[in-house]
Amino acid sequence: MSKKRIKKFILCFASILLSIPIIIPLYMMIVGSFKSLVEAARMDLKLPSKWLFENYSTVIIEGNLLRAFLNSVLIAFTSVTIIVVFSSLAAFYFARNNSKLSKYFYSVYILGLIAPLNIVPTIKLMQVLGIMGTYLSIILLFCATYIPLCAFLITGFIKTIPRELDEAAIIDGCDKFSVFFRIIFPLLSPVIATASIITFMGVWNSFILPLYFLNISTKWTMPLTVYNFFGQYSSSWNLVFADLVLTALPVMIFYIICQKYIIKSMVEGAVKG
Amino acid sequence: MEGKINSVYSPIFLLPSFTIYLLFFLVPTVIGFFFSFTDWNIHLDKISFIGLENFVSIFTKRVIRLAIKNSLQFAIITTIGKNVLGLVLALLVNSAIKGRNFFRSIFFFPAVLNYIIIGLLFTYILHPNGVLNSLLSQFGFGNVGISWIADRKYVMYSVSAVEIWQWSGFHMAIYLAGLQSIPSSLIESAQLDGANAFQQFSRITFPLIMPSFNVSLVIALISGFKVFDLIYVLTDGGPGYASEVINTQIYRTFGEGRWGYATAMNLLLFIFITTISLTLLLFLRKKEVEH
Repeated sequence: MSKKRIKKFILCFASILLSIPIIIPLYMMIVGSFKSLVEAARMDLKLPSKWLFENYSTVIIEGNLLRAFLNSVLIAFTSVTIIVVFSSLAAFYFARNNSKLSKYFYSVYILGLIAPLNIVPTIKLMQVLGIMGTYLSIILLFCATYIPLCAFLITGFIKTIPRELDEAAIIDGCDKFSVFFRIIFPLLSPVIATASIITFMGVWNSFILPLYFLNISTKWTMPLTVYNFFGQYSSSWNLVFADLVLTALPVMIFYIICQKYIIKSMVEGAVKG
Repeated sequence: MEGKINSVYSPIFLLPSFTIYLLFFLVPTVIGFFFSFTDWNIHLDKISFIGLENFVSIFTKRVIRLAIKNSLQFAIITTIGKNVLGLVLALLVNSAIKGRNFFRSIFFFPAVLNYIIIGLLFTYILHPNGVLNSLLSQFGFGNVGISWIADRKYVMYSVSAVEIWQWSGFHMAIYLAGLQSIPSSLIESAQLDGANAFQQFSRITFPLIMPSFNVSLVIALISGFKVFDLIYVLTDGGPGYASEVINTQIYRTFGEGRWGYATAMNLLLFIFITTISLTLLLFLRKKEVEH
């Protein structure tokens, strides 16, 4: 028994040890955001001699964070909605139709799971279409990158729903759209939650696509804005930290509330994709 | 009736998503394929076909060869690091220790933060006067004063370490899903047969989590090759070109207006990633066992 106890103690100690490298940077960011310019420049882990809450008000005004937050919200929510609805429609076709055509299209979608986007021709295409730099362009782009993964996930889920359900509905006189929207779609909530979380996290944290595609600063999302803020205030680490805390805050809150689902979804997206 | 049922599953359901996917993924990919054989750039009004010139230049230019080498090195180091650490963390939080749910959330947390937050935090930590060096000197390593990301000797290892730091918890969660699917009766019977901890792991646990291992490996490799954000924020390819990777080169070439060239590099990355991940998946699938 005592041997087991020692083992448990060692494992617990190892876990504490391994979480220190994760806690220190977070602690440093939060504490650093209340320091004065001089104290933050010292780059130590000490507590601030005086807690400066005004760093936050400075950052909110100077850093354009509210605007960026709203941009991120707009882009993320629109993208997630379109992606989830369109992917479910496609998945319904893939899961139920066993024709060659369906299999062919399915493999075309699979390609998008692995292959990276070719950015330069995409930019040119957006320019030709006259939508380069708009919210629409970035939303469509996120759709194109996340539809394959979500369609793939949802297809797997629909395959587990018995076909007899559809058949009964058809006999009762449902047309194809009501079969989907009234019978299948309401049953998809677990997989839609998963797909939404994966897409939301991906879109919310994306840096490379907004960097290439959103060339007007008023449309910037949070990661771009914070990076730009660092460019202007790179010596005021206290303000940079306050900016980082505010940028991390929405995700942190989301994580604290539903971490179980977030972890589960991100893993499912990885494993099944 | 049969016909009526089949007509319900009409390709019309594919239309909305396929239109977007076609227009903003497939079409650019195909256009990109053609443009990578041209001299398409900002200074010329006319685009002309130049054959393989872009590709020849990619493989002969020193900077790009360095970028390819760095990408490979980054992908391999981070894949090993994330998987080893991920597996260790998974075994830890899968054991019956107190507060394992708490540790699980802590370990996973960096995976939900964006690269800008992480990049900037580590810019501060890895600074010559930064937190890492001061901790090292407090633990008796003397005054190290290493500039982890501004010294070409260390820079690739430092950025790899940050990437591993961020994603190990995510890989832990993948392994954990695999570990939790192992029936406890298997482990118990092995214990009864007198297997020690190492034997239990190598003969039972590991073969059974092979599927998780494969997925985790492929994901780590792909994201390693695709790396951009972290390097862009931490080093911007510097010092000099010491930490240039394929995607930072693409961004730079794009910025210079050499579009055909950037597209050619993107095409190479596309071929690279697709081939490696498909071969690996096929090869690894064969090695999985059933229970």
